[in-house]
Amino acid sequence: MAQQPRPSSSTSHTENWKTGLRPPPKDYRPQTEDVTATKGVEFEDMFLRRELLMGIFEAGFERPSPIQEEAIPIALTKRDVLARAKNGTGKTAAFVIPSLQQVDVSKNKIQALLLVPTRELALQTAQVCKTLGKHMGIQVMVTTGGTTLKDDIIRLSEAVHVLVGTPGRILDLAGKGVADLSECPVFVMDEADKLLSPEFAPVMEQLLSYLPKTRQVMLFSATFPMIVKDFKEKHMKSPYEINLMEELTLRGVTQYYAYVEERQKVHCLNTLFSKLQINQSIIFCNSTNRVELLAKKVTELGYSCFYSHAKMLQSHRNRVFHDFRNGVCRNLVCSDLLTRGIDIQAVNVVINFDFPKNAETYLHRIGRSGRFGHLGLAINLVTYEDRFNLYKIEQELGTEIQPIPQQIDKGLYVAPTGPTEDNTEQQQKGKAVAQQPQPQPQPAQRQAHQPVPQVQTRQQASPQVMYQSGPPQQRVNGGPVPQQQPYPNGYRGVPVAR
Amino acid sequence: MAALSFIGKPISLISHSDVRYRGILAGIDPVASTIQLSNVYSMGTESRRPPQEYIPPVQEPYTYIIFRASEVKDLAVDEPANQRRNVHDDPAVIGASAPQVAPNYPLYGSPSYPQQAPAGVSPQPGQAQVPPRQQQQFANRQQGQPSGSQPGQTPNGQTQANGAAPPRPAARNPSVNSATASMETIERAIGDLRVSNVTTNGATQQQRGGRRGGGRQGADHKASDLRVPATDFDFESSNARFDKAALAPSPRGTPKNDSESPEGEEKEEEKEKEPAYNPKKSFFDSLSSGSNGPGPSGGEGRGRGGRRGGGRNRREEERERNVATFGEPGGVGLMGPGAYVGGWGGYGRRGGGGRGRRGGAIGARS
Repeated sequence: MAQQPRPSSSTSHTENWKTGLRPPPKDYRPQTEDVTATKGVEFEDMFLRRELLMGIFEAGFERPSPIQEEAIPIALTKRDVLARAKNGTGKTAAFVIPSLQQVDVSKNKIQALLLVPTRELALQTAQVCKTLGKHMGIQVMVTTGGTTLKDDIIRLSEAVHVLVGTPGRILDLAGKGVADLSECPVFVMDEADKLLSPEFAPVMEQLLSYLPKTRQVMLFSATFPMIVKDFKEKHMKSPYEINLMEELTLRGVTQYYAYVEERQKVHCLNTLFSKLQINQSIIFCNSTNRVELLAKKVTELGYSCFYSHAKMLQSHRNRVFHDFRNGVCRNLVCSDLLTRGIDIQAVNVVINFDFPKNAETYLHRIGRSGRFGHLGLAINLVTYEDRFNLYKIEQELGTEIQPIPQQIDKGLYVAPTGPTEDNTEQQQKGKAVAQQPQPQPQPAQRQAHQPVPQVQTRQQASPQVMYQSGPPQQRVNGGPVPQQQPYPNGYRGVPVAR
Repeated sequence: MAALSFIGKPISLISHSDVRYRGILAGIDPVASTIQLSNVYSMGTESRRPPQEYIPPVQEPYTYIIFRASEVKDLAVDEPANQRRNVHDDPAVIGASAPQVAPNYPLYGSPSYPQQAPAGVSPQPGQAQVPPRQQQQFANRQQGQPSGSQPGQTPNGQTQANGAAPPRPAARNPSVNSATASMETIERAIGDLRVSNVTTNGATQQQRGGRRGGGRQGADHKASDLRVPATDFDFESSNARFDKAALAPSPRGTPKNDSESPEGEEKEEEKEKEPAYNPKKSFFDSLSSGSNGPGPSGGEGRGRGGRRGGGRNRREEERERNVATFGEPGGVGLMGPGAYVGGWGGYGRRGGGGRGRRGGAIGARS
């Protein structure tokens, strides 16, 4: 068992329950105050059920992050909550834990409705629920557009305690009377501001009408524009506001810009690939066409990459998401589809191949790296046309995006443990574990639980492997090949079922 | 930025009234959305307009003419040779909004264009269509023409065309947006010019090919031009061409702008004053976002001002940008959405792989 028992609330013999748990290997990467500045509350102090605690520890959580520390106790009082915390600081678990705690497994009803804006995020969130609720016997169902409605209907004929999904599909199911939300006391909106944007807002209102009057409404996000205020006033009862953001950007993420001409972007990216020590990267483009064009170019350059955007088949999107998370491939080119919430701890570099048009998008995009207080890099390719946006975004976020230096200090985004020595480390670990050929990208993370901080990652097999994403390697393994390797160890983590 | 490297080069510019001007590119003012040429000859409408709308060339050169970017339909480097091509890459000037030149605008040209009424608003869709242009033919014709009316003068030309040749950035515009959008267009056009020019060195004559606009033909040049150099991208020198600090104070604050800067810009400035997020004052923020911002996915460059108005349609614009970036336009029709699915990185082969991992995982990990 990994964590040392702490004499907390539980009684002595209770300590035994921990012995059987198998948390993932500890993640020793350094973390910033964004996640370490806690008051010292322990999960054991929260009066959670034993089974839930088991799931929490087995997922590798050791102690609550700041947002979890604040939100969980309040949420357990059934009060409405409005919580704001930075990207990747544990918001998901902050609402999943209290939601699960409130579920009565013996009751065959949907008792918590968790809404998210994208399908991938729904899969990810559902996975966290399953992982944390593993010992509770809880039934979690994910439902999103892009899948067969019939399957969902069949699934709903069986027990479902927690329903996770995107608004449209859930409204569809509720409207058909297939999903019974009449006794669902918990209503959570993750990335709440996105869910209240004009495209989703009407759906949210309708959905709420299917819930009982006494429901508890909880909103989580890193950004809360004024539009949320209207919703708050209309649908929430004296919500408890939690705001852990003194500033908007993550401390661990260093931001740079590279001034380029449109036609130099590919060249620039190629150079970045060769110079940076990319563990895993996410590269954003501003349109689906550009995602495909860039993916093609990157492949031509000899690097492996996946791509994903909203116009792809859902099954392909899922596979890309799943495989990328498991380290099958080092680079992912995508549109803003994956801008929010996606938690892949192995990502240490985010590249805005196309500079985003607004501050909110920018903030969420760069928040894909530096997960859970870790270090990360955000590199922006900026053209003359982007100049005012660059200025505007810096102003709004109160941050500074600096010119990219000729040499980027690895200490800024590569975990210290492994920068140079990773080889050795890997080798060692390799032995210990089954080894895998390392060439692959990141072995990292498994963590399915996003909120999970430390947990995961480092994985056994190779601790966070930071293979150089440099050209040589990448190119070498650039091909499709990396897969096999990842698999062997790839899965060692929390199963990502999706 | 690319455009600045063209300063000092001979340029041919065609206005929406189809009058062509030849002159030396003296400056580009992104803030006011104007382009300044010096030593300008008006070539008249040449053969772009039906005879009854013909505007003859003017013999005497104007010392300076300032064009409103939104009224410029086409732009090309005027000389086959690239004698001065390196003239300056003058990085320093960049973000600054190149004002110096402007102050002296004697604007000879302007007096003659009083009317330009419906002007600015005119959509620029036209731009794309402009045929690759054959300035070559006129290239050397210079001003050997009868002097006569000034370019914009012909009433007809002006009125009906989509707006007149607009020298004078003056302030009459309600059309800030389209001006903004077109400015970008122009900048991009200029950027493309350089590309084609370079190619030209080796390939002689097609200097004009690469022009954005109509030229699908541009694609070829671009594609080849897109080969990724073996050398590393030089971040330092590239960044040196951009002065971020210059953006800060007030992009429009340059003296000369006072008289002419479009209002859009000013509003933008104001908004900047209050921090978008101040947790001490409010839980909520006012960050620009997809839903409060300009367009759906955001207007172009200019943040709030710019809903790239009725300008050219987005798709076309993106295709052009794609050509610039990737050497091909992409998009449905070529590969279709999702056409590459399964392609990259070979995820296709994961085949049966990952299924049973749940059990496996646990075993493996302990």
